[in-house]
Amino acid sequence: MSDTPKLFCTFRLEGHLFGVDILDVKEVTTETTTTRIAHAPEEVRGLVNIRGHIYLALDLRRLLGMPGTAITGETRLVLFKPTIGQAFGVFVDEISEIHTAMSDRIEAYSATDVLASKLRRVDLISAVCKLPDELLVVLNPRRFLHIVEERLEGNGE
Amino acid sequence: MAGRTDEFVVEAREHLSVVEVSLLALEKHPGAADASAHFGRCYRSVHSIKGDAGFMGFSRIHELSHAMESLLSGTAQPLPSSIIEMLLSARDRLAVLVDDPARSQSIDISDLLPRLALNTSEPGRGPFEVNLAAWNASHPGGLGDFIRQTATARKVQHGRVWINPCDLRDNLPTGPIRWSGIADVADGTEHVEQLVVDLFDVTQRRGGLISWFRELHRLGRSITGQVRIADTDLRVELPGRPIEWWGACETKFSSEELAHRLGLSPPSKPPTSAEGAEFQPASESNSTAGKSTATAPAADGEKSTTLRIQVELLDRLMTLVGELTLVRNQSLLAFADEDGPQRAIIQRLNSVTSELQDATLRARMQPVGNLFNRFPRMVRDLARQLGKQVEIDLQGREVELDKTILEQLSDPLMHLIRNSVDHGIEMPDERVAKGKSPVGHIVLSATHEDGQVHIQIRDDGKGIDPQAVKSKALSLRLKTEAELERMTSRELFGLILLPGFSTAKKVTEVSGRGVGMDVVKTNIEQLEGTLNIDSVPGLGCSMVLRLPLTLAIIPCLIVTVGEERFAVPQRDLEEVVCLHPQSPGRIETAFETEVYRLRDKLLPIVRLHEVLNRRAPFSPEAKAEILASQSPDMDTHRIEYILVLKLAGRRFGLIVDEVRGTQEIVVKPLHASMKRVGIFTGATIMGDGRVALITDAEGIIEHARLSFEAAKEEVVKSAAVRDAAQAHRVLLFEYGPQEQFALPLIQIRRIEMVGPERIERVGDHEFVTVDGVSTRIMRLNQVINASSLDADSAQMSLILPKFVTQPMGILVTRIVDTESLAIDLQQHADQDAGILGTAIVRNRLTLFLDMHRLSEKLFGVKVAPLAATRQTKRLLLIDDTAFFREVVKRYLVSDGHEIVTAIHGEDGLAQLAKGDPFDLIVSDIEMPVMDGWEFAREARRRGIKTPMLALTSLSGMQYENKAKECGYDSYEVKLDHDRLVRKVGNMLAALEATR
Repeated sequence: MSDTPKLFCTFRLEGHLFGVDILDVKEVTTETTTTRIAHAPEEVRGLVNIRGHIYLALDLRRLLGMPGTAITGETRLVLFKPTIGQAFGVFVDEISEIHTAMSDRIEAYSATDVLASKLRRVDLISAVCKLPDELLVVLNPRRFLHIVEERLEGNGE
Repeated sequence: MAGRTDEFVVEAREHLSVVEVSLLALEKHPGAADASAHFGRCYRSVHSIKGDAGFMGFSRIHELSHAMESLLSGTAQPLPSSIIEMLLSARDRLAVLVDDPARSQSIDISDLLPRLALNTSEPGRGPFEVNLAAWNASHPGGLGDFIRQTATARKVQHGRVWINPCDLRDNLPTGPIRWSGIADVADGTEHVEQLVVDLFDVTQRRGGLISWFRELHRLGRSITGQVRIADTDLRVELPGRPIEWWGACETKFSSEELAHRLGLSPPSKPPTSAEGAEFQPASESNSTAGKSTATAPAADGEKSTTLRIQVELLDRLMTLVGELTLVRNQSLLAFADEDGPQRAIIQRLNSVTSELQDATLRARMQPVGNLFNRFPRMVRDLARQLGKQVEIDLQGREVELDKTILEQLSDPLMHLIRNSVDHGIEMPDERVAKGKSPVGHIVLSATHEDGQVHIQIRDDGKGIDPQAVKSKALSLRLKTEAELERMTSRELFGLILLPGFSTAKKVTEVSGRGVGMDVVKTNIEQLEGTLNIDSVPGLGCSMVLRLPLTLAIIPCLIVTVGEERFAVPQRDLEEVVCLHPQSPGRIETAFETEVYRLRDKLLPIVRLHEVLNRRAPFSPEAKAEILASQSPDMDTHRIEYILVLKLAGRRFGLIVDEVRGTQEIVVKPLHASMKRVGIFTGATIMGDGRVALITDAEGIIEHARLSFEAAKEEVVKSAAVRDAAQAHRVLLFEYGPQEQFALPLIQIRRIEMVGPERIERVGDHEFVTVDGVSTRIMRLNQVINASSLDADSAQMSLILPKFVTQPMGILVTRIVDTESLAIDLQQHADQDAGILGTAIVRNRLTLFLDMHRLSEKLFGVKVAPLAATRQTKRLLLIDDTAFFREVVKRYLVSDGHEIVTAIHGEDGLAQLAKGDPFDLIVSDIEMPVMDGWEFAREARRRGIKTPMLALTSLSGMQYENKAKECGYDSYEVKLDHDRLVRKVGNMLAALEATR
């Protein structure tokens, strides 16, 4: 790995710190007005209008197997770049700061971790990063839409 | 570079299609008046490809198009078909090369070139190039010989010898020594124009060298060309002016014309400096610079008003217009309550947006001719392969369709036409044997019809055999025999489009129309279109595609369910039924589905909120649950909105909570990950900025597992039951204070409320205007012996009867009720002529009226006197209802016949068995013990040839057809006196004639 530090856009879910590579993020918005898509799996919050473009908004809590929660004033929608997947984003409880981590602080995720018991979808985690006083779980947003599609396929039965 | 290559490909393809169309035209009508125009177009297009390819450096393409050009110019007109054939195959190869110019170098064309060259009857006219070294080696006379030959045989302009640079001190040149020039300048109209052009100037004025050179190539053939730059030390600075292009160009345009077209200063004038370059009028410079080749080949000499535009740019424009529409909608909403100056601004914004939207949509429209033009070639080739003779006629090429639709239409259309040629049109001898012309015809036409485009493919081939379709459907167990019987021919041929149907192996059994037709159907449905097939066996087949003009912006009905809004496309929508608690219609239950009776048709009902809330497609249990949750009294509390949606002939009702109104919405596709959610087709952004989903009627039907078969069956059944039930009921009413009267419901058209103020008098007669028609009033005491009214009451009713010759109504004071007709009618010797008989109904003596006789009395028409000369006929009348038996008997007796009655089918058969012959049998259908259908079948089985007339209260084609099948000769509706008498008279007369 190179020695260039990695930047993570971090946010909180159930008090835990999560992050995604900042290069994957298009923008973070306060827009929380969604339109429900009937028949979509529960991980899908609905459709959001961002300046005339329609985005699919997912519930990251549900994606990770956490209990759902209501939208609050702190709720943000993290939108991803088109390279990650077609026009979509995830709702997070609150946005945190941007963390810089040198590559030597980033480790592969081990399933024995404390969080494992809490998270249903450990396959969404790409790495963990030990910050001075906290553990940052780095997620792989490229998997998000796949999970929704899989769930939708299983719907028919 | 990539951009320029793309541009080259696009243009070359257009030229290729021109070449194809022109060649086919030349082949079809070699001597036609416009033949030379076709030839010219073809030649120019090939030449343009050659020129562009040369410019781009695609030498293979250049080589092949050059060979084609030589062949064209070297062959005398009219072109023999062998040459056309060859040119067509060369064109196809050229198309392959053009598809991927970058790789065209690796494609071998060596097989074609000699063939094309061999056909050039005179050696090269136009530019040529000869390898002198090779010539020298292969000709014993050497170069001297060559020069002599050239000098005598050809006029050469601009001859030049090309030698690769080499140091002559060391050796003679080793590479090829080429001799080039222009041989035999075409027809005197062309000459060589020497040009010296300041390229700096060209760049300034025309914006680019490439388009300028392209234009130059279009106007003539460049023979030489080189760029001269003033000596400059490039280490210090870029070259100053002038940068000149020195060249020669063979052209048929005059120097002035050429200079004008190329945007040069006329040769006579000194070159203008860049600073002082006066700009040409914008329209002119634009039109020449961005000259579209779509029209250019045909109108080389005219100014073109079209502009080539990138599709992505157009798509982007469309998206922006969509967003603007959204902003407009938002503004309309935001300023809805304003009255001030904003209102005017918003309205202006509104109208400008609409116009912009309209114009942008139109920019995406392309004539279907672009697509149609490729079919003549396909038909020609396919017909040759199959040994058939087929001509295709294109109509309505100018009709325009959205680009996206047009592109996606190509495959399905090709498939349908291929099918027509392959399976529809017969072999020539077969056609001749059938008395048809040996040449089969296919007409491909496009027309505008109610906001849609209809594309029809009609052939005069053998058509589709409905029997074959039926047996196929039976063997595949798609339908039962009974279902097939009920289907219209259109529905029947529609079966071909079902997936299972097409993959059947022996497709020839069904005229072979089945191959992949389901794919065609799917493709067309993706375009929101429909496909209908119709055929007359032996005469041909017609397939009609109905397509929307565009997909981008559609009108929708906005509805809500709970808090959610949905857009229902108007094209799916037939009407909206608003069901008030007071309205007479109700939602009923039939076949485990809710249904609504809409004008005698049962409409299966789907509740949108149930569809939304049930993720899984409806199981029978789910359906039962939904039914259970709809307690009947719930309906009485709220208004139900039923959207009547139609889909390829199927209709269903979709219940929503509220209807908000219609709106033009910009369709955005549903997110790719959500494609499996079948009940929506897309999404849109509403005026308030929120997203709303667009419903998919097909998906909803699918999800709700709606069964239309059950509904269909039920329609027929329930209608029959209801009609029959109604037929056997009478309306009870009063006029004077004493009597109660009765009239069968089937004789009543409707009942109208009238007050005394509406009654007008003309002499002794009274009239009321009903539906704009002056209607004569009948007061019963004036026509029969009944009690009279002292004074008209404020609210009276007027019974408007059916089957009367002139408009009339019976004035009544009170409508009592309806009652079953299963009553025994008492008849009295002294009863009034307008009364059929009496009965005690609800403990009151009730007079049954003879409507026919009453109307005769009212209008003073005499009962038709018996035709003395006519023989009395013996008729058998079968009806189970005493009342009808009596009425019909009266009608027929008064017409002078002898009537024997029977009370049901079996009784009728017994009468027949007695042996006395009848001249005519008149029978009811709905009867106990043995109904009219069974009776007729049995009678015919027993060999009874007597004409039979079905007389029934069931009206409708299906009954009429069934009556014929059972053995009835004719069919008439009950209680229409005049028609019945006439029909009986005609049948008897026909019988007489055959004896």
